[in-house]
Amino acid sequence: MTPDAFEQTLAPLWRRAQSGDEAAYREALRLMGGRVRAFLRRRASEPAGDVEDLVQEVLLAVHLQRGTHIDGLPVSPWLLGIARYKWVDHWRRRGRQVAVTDDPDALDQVPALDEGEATAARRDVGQLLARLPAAQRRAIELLKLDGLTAPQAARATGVSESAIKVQAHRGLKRLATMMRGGHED
Amino acid sequence: MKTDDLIEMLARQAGAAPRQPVVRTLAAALVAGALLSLALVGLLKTPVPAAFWLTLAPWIKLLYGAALAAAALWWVGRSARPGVAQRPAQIAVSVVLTAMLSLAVLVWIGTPAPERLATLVGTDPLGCIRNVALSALPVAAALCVALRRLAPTQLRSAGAAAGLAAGAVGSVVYSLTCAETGIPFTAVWYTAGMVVVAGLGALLGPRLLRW
Repeated sequence: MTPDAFEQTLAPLWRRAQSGDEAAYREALRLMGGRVRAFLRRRASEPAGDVEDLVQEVLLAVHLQRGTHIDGLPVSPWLLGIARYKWVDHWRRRGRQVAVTDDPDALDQVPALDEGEATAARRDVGQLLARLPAAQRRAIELLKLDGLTAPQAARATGVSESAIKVQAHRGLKRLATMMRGGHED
Repeated sequence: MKTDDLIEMLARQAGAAPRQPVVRTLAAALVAGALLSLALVGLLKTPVPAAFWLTLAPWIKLLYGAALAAAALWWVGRSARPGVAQRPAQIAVSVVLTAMLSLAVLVWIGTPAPERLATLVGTDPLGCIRNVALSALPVAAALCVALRRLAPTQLRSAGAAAGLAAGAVGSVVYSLTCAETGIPFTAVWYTAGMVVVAGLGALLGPRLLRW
């Protein structure tokens, strides 16, 4: 898929996803995952499992930061901006310097998108989930794994709907921190 | 967990994207930082006498600080969004800086030679740099916390933007207590104070703003 075709496929899905269409969001995240995987494989000389760890980290960042995309602007530069940042951050955490391009246009020039299949990630997100505080883990399990609606989850736990949503969101944020190997605050 | 399972988890019950998190987070930080700065400066300094507001000098300082704060906050907002060019906001900042420096040069030229030095040096130029920078610190801290919750991808630039915005807001707060009258004074020493904070931001950004 060319970059243009990618953008044209992703943009309408993303617009629907941003306004709350869950199926469109799932599809958009799959597309984005493939694109990020291709972006990272072109740069990284690392084992595929490590690349897949980063793909997952980028997808979680996409989810947590989806509000920072401006409606109507192309999605690819936004997505690749996050991917590039997470890649640079990954190297800095290992004490290495990487050349950084500051030009968002240049990010769009990734030509061939040989996406390849997802390989197994090295780090198991499921195990990280198990290390979350109980309330956050429970909220994620109910809403994000069992697929309960917020009112259903609220009935199951006796906590308010907004509280359970906040717990799930906090849990995902903490998960992102744990993925970076940082302090779990 | 496979990537497909993670995607499934993220999408499920995701709802609509949060609305305007950049604007809301930065606005909250700006208000909190400015109030803290006001409290700090209010404790340590006395406001200028009311009659001072009948002259032009304090209004120039206010206007300059506010215009630069607006441009720099725009830059901060752009730097908090991945894939957005910083250039337009950097140009806006340069326009405000150039306008102020040009005004200062005009005033300098229009001032009789024996009085020129006084309009530039005032009574305590180094104190001014220090006070602008100190007034900016609460704002800088608040903007730093805000940016860490958003998605800056060029941390040096984001740090500089946040430092400059904090410096500009700090200068507005400090100007309420500053009795210096020279326009060249404001253009040079206020700007120097803001640049110090912007430089600190650029220096510390890559360390403090990681997410």
